[in-house]
Amino acid sequence: MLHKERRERFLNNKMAVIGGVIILVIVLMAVFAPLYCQDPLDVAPKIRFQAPGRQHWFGTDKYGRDLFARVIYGARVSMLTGFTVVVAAVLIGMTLGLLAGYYRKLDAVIMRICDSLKAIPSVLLAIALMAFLRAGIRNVILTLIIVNIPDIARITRSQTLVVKDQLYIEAMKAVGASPARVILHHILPNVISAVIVQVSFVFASTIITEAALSFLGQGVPAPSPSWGNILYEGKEVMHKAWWMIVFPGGFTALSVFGLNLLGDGIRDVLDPKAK
Amino acid sequence: MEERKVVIQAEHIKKYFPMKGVLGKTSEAVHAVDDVSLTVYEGETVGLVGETGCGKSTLGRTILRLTDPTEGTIRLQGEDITHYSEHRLRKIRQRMQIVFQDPYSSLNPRMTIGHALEEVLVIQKFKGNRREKAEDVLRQVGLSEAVYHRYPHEFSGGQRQRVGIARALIQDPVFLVCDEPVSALDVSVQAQIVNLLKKIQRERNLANVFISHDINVVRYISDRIVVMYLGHVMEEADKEELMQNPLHPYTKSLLSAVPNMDPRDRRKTIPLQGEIPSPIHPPAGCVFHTRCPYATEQCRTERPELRDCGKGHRVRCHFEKIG
Amino acid sequence: MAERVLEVENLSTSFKSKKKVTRATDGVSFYVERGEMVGIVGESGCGKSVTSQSIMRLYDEQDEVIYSGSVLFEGQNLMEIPYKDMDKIRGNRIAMIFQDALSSLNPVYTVGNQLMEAIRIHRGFHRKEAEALAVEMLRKVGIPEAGKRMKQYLHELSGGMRQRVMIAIALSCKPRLLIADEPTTALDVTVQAQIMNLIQELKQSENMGVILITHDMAVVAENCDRVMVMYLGQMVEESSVTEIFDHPMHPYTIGLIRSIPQMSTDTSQELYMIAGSLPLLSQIEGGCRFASRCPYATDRCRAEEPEWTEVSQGHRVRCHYPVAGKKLGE
Repeated sequence: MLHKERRERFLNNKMAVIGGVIILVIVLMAVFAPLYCQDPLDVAPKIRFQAPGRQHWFGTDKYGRDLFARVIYGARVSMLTGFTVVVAAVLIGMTLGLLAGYYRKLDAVIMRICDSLKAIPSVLLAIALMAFLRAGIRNVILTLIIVNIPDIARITRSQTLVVKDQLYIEAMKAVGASPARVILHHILPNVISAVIVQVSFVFASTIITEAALSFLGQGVPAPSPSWGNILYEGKEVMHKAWWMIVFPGGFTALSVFGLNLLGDGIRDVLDPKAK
Repeated sequence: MEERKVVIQAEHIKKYFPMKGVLGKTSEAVHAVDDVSLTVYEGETVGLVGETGCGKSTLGRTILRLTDPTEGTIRLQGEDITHYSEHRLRKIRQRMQIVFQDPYSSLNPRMTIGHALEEVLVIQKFKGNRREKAEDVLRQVGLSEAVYHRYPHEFSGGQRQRVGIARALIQDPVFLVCDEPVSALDVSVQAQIVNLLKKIQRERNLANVFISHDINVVRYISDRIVVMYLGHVMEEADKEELMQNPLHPYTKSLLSAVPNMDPRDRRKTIPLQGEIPSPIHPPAGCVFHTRCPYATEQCRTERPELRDCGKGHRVRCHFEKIG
Repeated sequence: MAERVLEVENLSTSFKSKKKVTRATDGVSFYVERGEMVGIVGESGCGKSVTSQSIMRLYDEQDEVIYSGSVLFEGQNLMEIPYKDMDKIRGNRIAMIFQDALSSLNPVYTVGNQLMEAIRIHRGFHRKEAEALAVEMLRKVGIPEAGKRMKQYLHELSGGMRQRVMIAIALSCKPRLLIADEPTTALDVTVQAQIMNLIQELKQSENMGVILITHDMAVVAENCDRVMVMYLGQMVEESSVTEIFDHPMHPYTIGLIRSIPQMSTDTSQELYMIAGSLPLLSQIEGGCRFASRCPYATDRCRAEEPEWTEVSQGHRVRCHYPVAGKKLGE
């Protein structure tokens, strides 16, 4: 009953559906890339900087590699990074947030650490962390997880504080429920929707940060394609090969746009009051 | 007369909430409950009545060990539970239960009614058929089994309160605290809940503490009434004795402040001037002296004891007869 | 007969949303005389607050609202005047007080600031004059040390004191009509008695009409001259206060009176109960709106909506079978 109502409310929200479709299409394209794309690493010096055409839909780059294939393979990187980061950051962040919200003593420690992480702008923090680690997709993911944990933890904690004061939590204590049971069975289900709302926004910011890192040469190392490092290569030849900027940039913007629409839609469905 | 069994015996309960200042804890504290003793027998309903901040709810929660007493002892069926750890408390919780005031926030919005009730049985490691037991208790509170798979938001306040009562009863407690169970409900359903609670209390021979600001509701449901003011018991007596022969000036003014359903018999004078003093700095002497029309020098300096006037009628006032 | 301050005729308020039009109140008619207190009694969702807020036209700004009927205030139909002209009436000639002073007054200004602002807006006083009047108003509503209170913030005051401040602000413009929406619901009984007494006194001294909105029949018995009982957006009974307690006719009114325990209630008997719970307006399909909970309901009640009929001088009821002469306690 509840779920049906929610599904209807979501489907009635045109913008959210558009956002969902955009993301779905990008994900499907990325997943099935090997089936229809050329090899993104296939170098062909003869056809450097070819404008978009029938053979190469998005044109080619300075090594003559097919830009369409590179952008789609870049989407794989972005989606994989986004997905892994979201899952890990949510798991860790929510655990920390629940503990911090429930136990006042842990709160001081956990939240101070989160505060100090939040004090540095996330891109700068990511760059600093990447400087310690070696460039590479695994380290990008690790970095982005660390960067995103504080936000998730903070949201979970504030929701936990609200839910913890509800009478039904006291009622469960009066019944004799253990703290673990109260947290997992009674608080968690009531904070999770606030976190889910955040997920697509985290996803979007992950895509941007990953692109920024790669753009700055701290992310996915060449020759593997990622939206960030394609943009980086395109930056120098922007005046003669506009497609090097427009397509990866457009995809980045489109997926972030789609995720934000989706996130707004989910928020409206799960929490119609918060607008 | 048969010896009545004591179910709850709370002695000299104090509950102070320390105040938080800018630099951590200060020496100041809210004196929510100050030296209150309360005994509840099997099959008896004790009404706790008083105005905002008199400590009646805090007392209820302290007796249930939902909050720790600052001082005093609490015995449940002779067992001293004052210093039980959280872990040990969990094992005896099923014997003492609470019904809350607000039926809207006292049910988990994401659990169906049936799930919420079964959850209680899971926690208490109930051995039998959980579904059967839950449906049985739903019937006892006047709900049909059809509500089993529905969520709290589909119900009105009165129905939710019935679920709240079911949750307390499903564990077969011996002691029940009802904390303002009808004051958040619509007038037309209050009577239903009052009748239900009274019926259940009788059927199960429960020891019951009924907390309310409404002295008429308390009179209707209780056997004995305890009047509280600023954390202290001011008067305590059997209900008819208290209503017919109130001894404390506060009880008298409380009774005369209650509006009467007879437009021909309107109140002529205002029963009480002024407002309740701050529980952080309760007045010296008798805590009621700042509002008492009969206060003397003695009242301002010396705190009266709770004095026994026979037949279980006790009053905290220096004077035998007043007003 | 005293002069009528307010005359409401057949007032209905509906709210339009995307999908449907909800009729929150339906054909409400009543009047208030000078120096008279009229009680509107009912439970949540009965339309008592919607009625008072419609009189003030408080819904104009936020919602898609449709009014019908007329509200004559001192000879002027408030439903027809331009919305901006309401500013001259609202808070000035008709004042309103609410249950919760803390959320209906601004917490960042001192008591004095808010009181003086009201006086200066509505009465065009200068600062000095406004200040003097403000202190006088605080004294009038029984606030001790008025000068000191002027500089305090609301959160520094107790519930009863806040209510007094709100009354002082409401009365500073000498309104002809005061609408008190559950003014004592959040207060303790001893303070409730003080505040109701204050409203009574001010009603006399200012010779204004008062509409008291409440869910508590006992407060009505104690304070009002006339009463109207509302249920699900409709008036179900109206009469003088003595008449309604002597001869309540609508089964809902009878239920409201009898289901509240009194000092005289026999505690060995079960309390009188109104069965069931409040239905949603959308669940009512024709017929009498109280039929689903009424112990006397017949097929006629379920099929045919009862008319609003006068059964005796000034006593009107919406019931097919007014339980005439049914005395309390029978």
